[in-house]
Amino acid sequence: MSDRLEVALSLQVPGFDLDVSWSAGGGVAVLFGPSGAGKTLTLQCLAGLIPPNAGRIVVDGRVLFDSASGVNVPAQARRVGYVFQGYALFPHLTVTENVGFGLRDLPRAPRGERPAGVIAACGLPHPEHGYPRQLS
Amino acid sequence: MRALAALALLTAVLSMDPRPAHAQEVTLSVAISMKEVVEELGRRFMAARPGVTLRYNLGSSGELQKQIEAGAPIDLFISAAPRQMDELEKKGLVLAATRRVFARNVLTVVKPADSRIDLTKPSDLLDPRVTKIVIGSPKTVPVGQYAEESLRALGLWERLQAKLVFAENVRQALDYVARGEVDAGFVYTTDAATRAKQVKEAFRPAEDTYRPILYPVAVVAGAKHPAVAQAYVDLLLSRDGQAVLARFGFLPPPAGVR
Amino acid sequence: MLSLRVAILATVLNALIGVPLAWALARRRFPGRALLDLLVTMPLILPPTVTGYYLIVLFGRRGWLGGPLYQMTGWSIAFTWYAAVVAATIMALPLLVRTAKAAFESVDRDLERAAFTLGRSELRTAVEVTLPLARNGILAGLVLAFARALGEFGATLMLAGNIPGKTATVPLAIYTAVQTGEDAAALLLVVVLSALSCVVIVAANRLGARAT
Repeated sequence: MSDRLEVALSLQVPGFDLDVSWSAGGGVAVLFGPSGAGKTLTLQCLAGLIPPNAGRIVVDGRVLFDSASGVNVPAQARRVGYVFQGYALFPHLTVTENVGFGLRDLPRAPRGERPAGVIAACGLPHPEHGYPRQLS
Repeated sequence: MRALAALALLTAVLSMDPRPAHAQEVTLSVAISMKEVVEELGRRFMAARPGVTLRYNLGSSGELQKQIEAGAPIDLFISAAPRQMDELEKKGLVLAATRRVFARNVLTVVKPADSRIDLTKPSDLLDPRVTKIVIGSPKTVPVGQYAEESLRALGLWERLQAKLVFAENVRQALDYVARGEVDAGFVYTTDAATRAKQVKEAFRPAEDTYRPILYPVAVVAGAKHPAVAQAYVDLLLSRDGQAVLARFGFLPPPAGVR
Repeated sequence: MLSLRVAILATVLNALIGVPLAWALARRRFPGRALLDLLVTMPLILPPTVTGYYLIVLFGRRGWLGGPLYQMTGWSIAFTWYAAVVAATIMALPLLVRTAKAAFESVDRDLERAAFTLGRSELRTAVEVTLPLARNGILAGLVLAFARALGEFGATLMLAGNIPGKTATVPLAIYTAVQTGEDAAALLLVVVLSALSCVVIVAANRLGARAT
């Protein structure tokens, strides 16, 4: 099995030094450790939300970060999906708008239909024009 | 709790009156054009009377009149025009027996020292290069009242309306001219002298176009120190007082005028 | 009515300048940020006459900005109603910026980060996510700024003067009416201004309470 994920990075934030190096193949990879170990920080580096001080991140052969050659692909372009601990649902947008938020590249029509399909597939009972706070 | 006690103590200390109990603090409301004269005479007055402190409340006569009407604790009032004193006298707010005129002044038009506009007579104010003229607010400021009178008599008041800017007192008007914010301004000759480097007298409107600029002084009814206030009035009328006034450019009061 | 025109225009200007400023102060790091914050806050702390003085130094006929303008066009902002707008804008700006800044800071940053991972640029995120979520706080700030602009006196008096019909805003007119003993006129103006201010404060409180 080839490595789909190669991560080697170090990051200094006030009060904490992160230094990790690991790789993962296909399937589900799990990062575990006690709270404060740096799991969220590592994930945020992977997503491009925080730039490491040094290191290299490669996903599916794409170099997302490499301090040696000065590569730092912005989060917007990494195509890495991230689910936040608090879900990070946009309270000011409807469910449909939330689901369709990432569909910026599609023309108007599919942008309306795709979310509807996903919502139905997930079995959400509420109408698509409701807001996240109305969902259980 | 300790912080609260400290705060209370600090407030108490700051509220205490630092003046010795026997000192007399006398407050004079003075038309601002008299500022330097009153301060100079005041120095001599206080030197001769240890234990007396004079405090000067400066402003336009209209402003000062309003304060006295509102009950401000003033001992003496010097106005730059009879009108404000008349109103107080009508209301019984000044001691009529103490009222005297002690000085006279003359209206002049000044322009910024570096102004290149030729202003030698009143009609020159109509020149399109003159875009802004400052006068005291005619409703409350004597120098503005005199300016309006003069401009009306000269037939220029209506035509200059759009150029007029109002100041709250004569020194503010002077300041606008000194800063070059306006092209000309109506002030007293004595004021022009205080900023001789920054303003230049352009011309003086004929004296028969406005009522004489007379300075009445009176002791305020209900003054805490009427005797000291009266002594100051006497100083203004004395030879020494008149000499100081002359030095600052004021004219003596016309004879026979109260 | 002049006062309303001045206050509305000042609030609009404050919205255009203050909201982006507040966002930059809340969300971005840049050199001179602390200094900018200080400058924006100063009109709130300094006595109005001090601010008025600085305004004259800047915008007067011989001022740093007003001077060149006067040289070129023969026109100065002093003693015009534009000066009243400038004075009102600057005096009210800190109120808007501070309120808006707090509103922006209270937006959950994870929401912004989620938007980044979903492909939104920083600017679009600010507009599509941060701004709508900070909306109530910003509106409250605008309402406060409007009230402040309506009541502005000291700095206005210095830069715009008190010219009836041209630059005499309601606060200045009250001052003149009191000075000339026109108590009835003064009372009327005072009541109008007080009523307007009450409405404004109630509106601000309502909006602020909904800001979470």
